Amino acid sequence: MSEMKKQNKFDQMLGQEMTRRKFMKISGKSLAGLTISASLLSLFGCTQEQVDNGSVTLWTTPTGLLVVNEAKCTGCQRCEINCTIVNDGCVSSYISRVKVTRNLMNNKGHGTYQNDWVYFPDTCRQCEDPWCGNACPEEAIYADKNGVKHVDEKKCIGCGACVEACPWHMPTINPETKKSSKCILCGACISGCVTGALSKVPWDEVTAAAQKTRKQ
Amino acid sequence: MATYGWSGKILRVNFTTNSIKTEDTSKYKDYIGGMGIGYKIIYDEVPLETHPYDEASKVVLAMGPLTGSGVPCSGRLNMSFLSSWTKGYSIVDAHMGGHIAHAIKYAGYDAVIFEGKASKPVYLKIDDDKVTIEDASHIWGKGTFEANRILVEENGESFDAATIGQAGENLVNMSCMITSVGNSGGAGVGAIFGSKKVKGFVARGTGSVKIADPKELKEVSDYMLRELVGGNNNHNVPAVPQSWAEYSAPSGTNRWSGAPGRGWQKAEGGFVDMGEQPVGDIDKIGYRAHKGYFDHGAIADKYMVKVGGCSSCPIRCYAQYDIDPLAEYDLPTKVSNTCMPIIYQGAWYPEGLKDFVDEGDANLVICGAGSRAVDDYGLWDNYGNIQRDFNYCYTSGILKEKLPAEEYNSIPWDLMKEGDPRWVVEIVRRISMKEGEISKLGLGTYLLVKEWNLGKEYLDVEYLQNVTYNGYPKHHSSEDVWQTGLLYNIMYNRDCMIHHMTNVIQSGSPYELYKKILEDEFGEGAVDKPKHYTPMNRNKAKLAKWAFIGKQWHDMATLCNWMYPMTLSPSKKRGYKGDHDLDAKYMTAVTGEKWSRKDIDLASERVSNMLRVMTAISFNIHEGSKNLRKDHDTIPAWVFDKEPDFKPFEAGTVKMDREDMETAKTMFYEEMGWDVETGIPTRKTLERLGLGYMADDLEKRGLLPA
Amino acid sequence: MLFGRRKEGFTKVEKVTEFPKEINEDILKEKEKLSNIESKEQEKPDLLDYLDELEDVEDLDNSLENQDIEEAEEKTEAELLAEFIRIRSKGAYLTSKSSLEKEEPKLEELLDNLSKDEGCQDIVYIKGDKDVYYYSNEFMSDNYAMIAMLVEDKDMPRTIAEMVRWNGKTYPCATPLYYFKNSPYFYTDAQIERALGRIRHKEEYSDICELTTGNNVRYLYSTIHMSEKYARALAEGVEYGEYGYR
Repeated sequence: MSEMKKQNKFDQMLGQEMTRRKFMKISGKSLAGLTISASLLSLFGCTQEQVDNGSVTLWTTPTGLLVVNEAKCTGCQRCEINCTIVNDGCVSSYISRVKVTRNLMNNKGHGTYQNDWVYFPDTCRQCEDPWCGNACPEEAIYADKNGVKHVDEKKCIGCGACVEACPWHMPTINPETKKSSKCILCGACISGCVTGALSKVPWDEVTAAAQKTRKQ
Repeated sequence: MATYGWSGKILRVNFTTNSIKTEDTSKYKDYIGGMGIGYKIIYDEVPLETHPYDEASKVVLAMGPLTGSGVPCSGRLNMSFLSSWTKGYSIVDAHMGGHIAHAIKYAGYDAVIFEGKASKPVYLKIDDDKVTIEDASHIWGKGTFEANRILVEENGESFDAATIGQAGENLVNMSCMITSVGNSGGAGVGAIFGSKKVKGFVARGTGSVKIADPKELKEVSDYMLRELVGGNNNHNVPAVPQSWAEYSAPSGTNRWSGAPGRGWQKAEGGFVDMGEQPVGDIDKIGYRAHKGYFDHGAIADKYMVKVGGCSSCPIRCYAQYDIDPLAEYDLPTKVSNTCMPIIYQGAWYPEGLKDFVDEGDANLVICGAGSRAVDDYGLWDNYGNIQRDFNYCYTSGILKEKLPAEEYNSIPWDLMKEGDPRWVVEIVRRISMKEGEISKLGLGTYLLVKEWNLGKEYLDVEYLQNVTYNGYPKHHSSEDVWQTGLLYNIMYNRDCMIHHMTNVIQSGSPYELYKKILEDEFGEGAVDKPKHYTPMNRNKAKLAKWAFIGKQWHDMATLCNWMYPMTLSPSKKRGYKGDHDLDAKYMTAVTGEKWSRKDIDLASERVSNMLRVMTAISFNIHEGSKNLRKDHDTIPAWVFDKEPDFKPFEAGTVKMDREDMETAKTMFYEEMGWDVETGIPTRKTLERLGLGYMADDLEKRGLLPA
Repeated sequence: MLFGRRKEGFTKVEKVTEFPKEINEDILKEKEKLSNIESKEQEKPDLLDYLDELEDVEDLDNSLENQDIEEAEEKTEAELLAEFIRIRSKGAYLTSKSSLEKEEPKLEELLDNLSKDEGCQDIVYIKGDKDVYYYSNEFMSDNYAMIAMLVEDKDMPRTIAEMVRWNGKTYPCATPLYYFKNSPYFYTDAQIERALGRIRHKEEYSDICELTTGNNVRYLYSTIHMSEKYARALAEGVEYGEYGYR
């Protein structure tokens, strides 16, 4: 590879990195009140209206921008199924790292048994400063080189401190293994979502769309 | 002991003694699960003389090794019990989709046996291994929507619930059990629960279904989603041309109806366009089924919020509406359904419907009102027979003749004539509450004919669609699949629920294409041109056997028969051929045992023969019959006499021929290994399937063919 | 407000002080009440501008350092053209030769290179009466390209007649008029009626006949491929369906 091409590639990556850092500032926060350009909307697969009424959330992950669109969630639970097949070798709702079942039936006045169809997949926020990790008495939750937080099963004693500390109760103690299950961003839920309610946009695509927006 | 696939335990609850026990599933291994376990337990434990509403009667609710295993379209459960409403009062099944089958599996049970009779209203609470019988006096008398809501609220997060409505409580034969997503188990199961004073059950499970080879399971699932799965009913071409697709379905019978420009206008945050859904794009499969559009056309988009369906299924066949014109009548507007309740309520209005807000919205709005009403009261419609019975009896003057004048005049016919949505609610209420003579419609067609002395000729009327003289209608029969469809339609004690063939014939694929795929497997002449069928032949009988036993497999495994088997594929690269070995691949990956299609066929044949033997015994007990061919499998006259302008076998008709159909029965019985005179399984067949004990039973009763 | 109504705890734990636009739903309602008109007039900030204004957050991930730089190949002009056609095919669009000519002075040479390029063998064309249309058969089927070509050529009588014949031969089926109201045709009732009027008066379309089913739905069929009786049976079969007329 020529030096020039290498430099170009490096510049591109720097651009992506800057985009990622920018989006980190609003990871998981409300987008209501903001206008989003057409090219970004098309990339996120949502409408401005969905942004305005809060049915869309963006989460920054090391590998891309995770878009959760509850208007598109149809409650099939395939995210939970794929999560547990890949990470636990069995199929379960309860220990799934992505959680839709608990929202599906009756969730604070919403859900199918409340006669509306407001439900959505809850995902791990991948907090920069993780509640789960900070609360762990055994320091069993660590960040890998990409910044993804894992549970060291050798250290985990299944005490449930991480579950309690997480404001959204995303980790779960597996009743069979007595270990904490926590999202490691494997992406199985996203790649198996049949309506794109969960989707991940790679940083290069976000960057390109952002640049396009700026040019207009 | 939990094994791979199976949870390992069966829950037995006796409501007379309040005893709650668990048993090992492994003794039922030969019967797989679902319908198979149900049939074995009913046969072993409930004498077929038993009245369905007696204390000795039982309901076996069962899942199978694939239920909740993550295999796509594995969200259904099966309930087996004795029929209260068909000729012979033999074994029937109710099937329920949704999310509750998964919940019971995760709680650790392959099946739940409901037996005995409670002294006061109760419900069953399954919370992992904490199983209790709870008081239900506060929800007895309430509709299913309110009862289910109260149950999930009082039991807590992640509980799912299913209950019966007033129809079941009042022992209306035509009753079902319902979850609040519109998933319904019918065939009269509501009244069986009602007779036990069991309002329903709630379930939550924090456990898992164990998978022998999770990597293989994930790979096979992804392969199915990328290459095999189509749209609703597994139709393998889109209804509307899509740029990646070679074919589409100019006819309106195709159910892959999601298309560019169609979608959900009431989605949170505005219109969701369902767009194109190319083969291989897993993240778009959920937009293929647009049952709203299929059922009601473009007007459905206006009121749709989302689509929905069962746990694990990528094909979201439920349309979820917010039909606001109903608010003006003080009726609920939120409707979620996929089947008869949201399609067939117009039949309650024999004098026609009128539009509400937009042109062409009449049927949708009425169906919305009707769907909520039948699901709330828990009234089962016997695949439209109850509406047709009403419609015909009204139009032909039977109602006026049979109802006392005072009652007839008290009925608000004006609402019906005006197309008012409150009419469907009122008529459903009267039947569900057993109010007046008109509520005899809730007996079911077979008993209604007896009660009102309507005569056998009533069942010969084409409009009424009865496929036998036993009390239930056709369900995708000869109009799609000639002799083959008719053969498997007459095998059960309810509508047949087999979709093996309609899924292919109505797929929208070119005839030559699906003909080749099927004939490669079943031989020449197995498949006829649409509306141009040929005389019966051996390969059609083989095809009929495949579909008949295959449906039992799906209710054992459990897999959804609206989707499986994967006969066709939307993939050009595959030549549009599906994969009939897929079920075996899943069984191998999930259970860790080596399964082949042959093993699956054997298990399917076993349970199919149990159905036949139990039907023969019931018909002997209740009808004094020794011959199912004559007394169970008889086809009403309309099937042969309709379309007077046509002769059988002429291009343009599915009018059947009497003699040819008798040949068809003979060939089918031969393929099944049944006696051709009586249609009853022979000892040789039963022993081949490990059912020697059933042959002994038949022999004892003088029913075993010589 | 995002999850506000359903997920208590969310706003509590975020560092809202650094996040002035993060508005609590109740406050938002209050504000709206106070100055309904004003809030409508205020323009909403653009997401990207907003991101620039915000203070940086601490980055614990440092993901850039951990990524390998991959080699990127330069694309030839033919490859770029192929890429352009593919993107359009993916979006269900044909690419007309006339539109390419406007943009690209050396088009013939490019197309020649394209046809020789092994990596571009998916780029094929279909000839219409008015233009030549390119597409990638990896993303667009040949049959769809035929439909899209007919639609692009904007000869409605021909499109209708050709598709009625093709459907009659291929499936076989009669074609309901409503078929042409769907994607990708999107014809209006008036357009369909005008086209039918012209079909009736042209010798070349004399095989195209019309029938009406028992529920008043109009169908077309071609006598080249089926009799009236058979066409009617097929159409009635569709309209009557499993449960009676829809």
